[in-house]
Amino acid sequence: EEEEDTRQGFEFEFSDRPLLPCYNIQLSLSQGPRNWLLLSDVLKRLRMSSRAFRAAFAHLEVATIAEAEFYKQASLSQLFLCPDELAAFLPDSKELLDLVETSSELAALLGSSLECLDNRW
Amino acid sequence: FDHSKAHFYRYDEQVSLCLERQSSSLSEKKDKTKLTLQQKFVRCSVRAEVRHLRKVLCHRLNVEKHQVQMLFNNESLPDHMTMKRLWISHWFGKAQPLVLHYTIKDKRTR
Repeated sequence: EEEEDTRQGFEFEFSDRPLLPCYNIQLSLSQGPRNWLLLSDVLKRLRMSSRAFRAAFAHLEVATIAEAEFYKQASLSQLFLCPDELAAFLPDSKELLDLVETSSELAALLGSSLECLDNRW
Repeated sequence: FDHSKAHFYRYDEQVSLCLERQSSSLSEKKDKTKLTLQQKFVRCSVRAEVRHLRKVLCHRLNVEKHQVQMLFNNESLPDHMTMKRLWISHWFGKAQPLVLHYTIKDKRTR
């Protein structure tokens, strides 16, 4: 319960390298929006193949979304209004994108460290 | 979907920041390495406020809260400004990360 309380507070992820883009995406009506990284970005940074990643971290959720739906949701964000940031995605593509949900474990894998503040601040 | 957790900050849209130290005196420059974030790229909820960022910086740099000041374009940022408001008012349409500066005042001065 104590851990759950901590996780209700603010989390700050710190890194000495530019952070990978993070997308707030709702994958289904039965689930609210969550934060995802593109699996391709993660693999590039970790220098791993998709197969090796899935084998080593089978417990990390990898989800799939159509590129067009991904673009539609990401482009609604007021934080992604710089034309360059979504230029790599096609608004009408039916290709599938793999996403991996952000978590403290994934952050650690990518070399980040986390600071948590509880709600009293 | 567990709606009781929908308000958690970790499900909020996240903002990407780059925190650069701004030195303003010779004495500060002496302590530059000690009082400069080694991990300067930061991600947090759009609902986080400047005061939360200051608090985290204090913890990271082991200084007192009154010593840390957050700046954008040399102007001090109000404690209760959220990252979302900061982004929309100062960084709208620009690429991530949003670049902010911080200063560390001498411990003796308030």
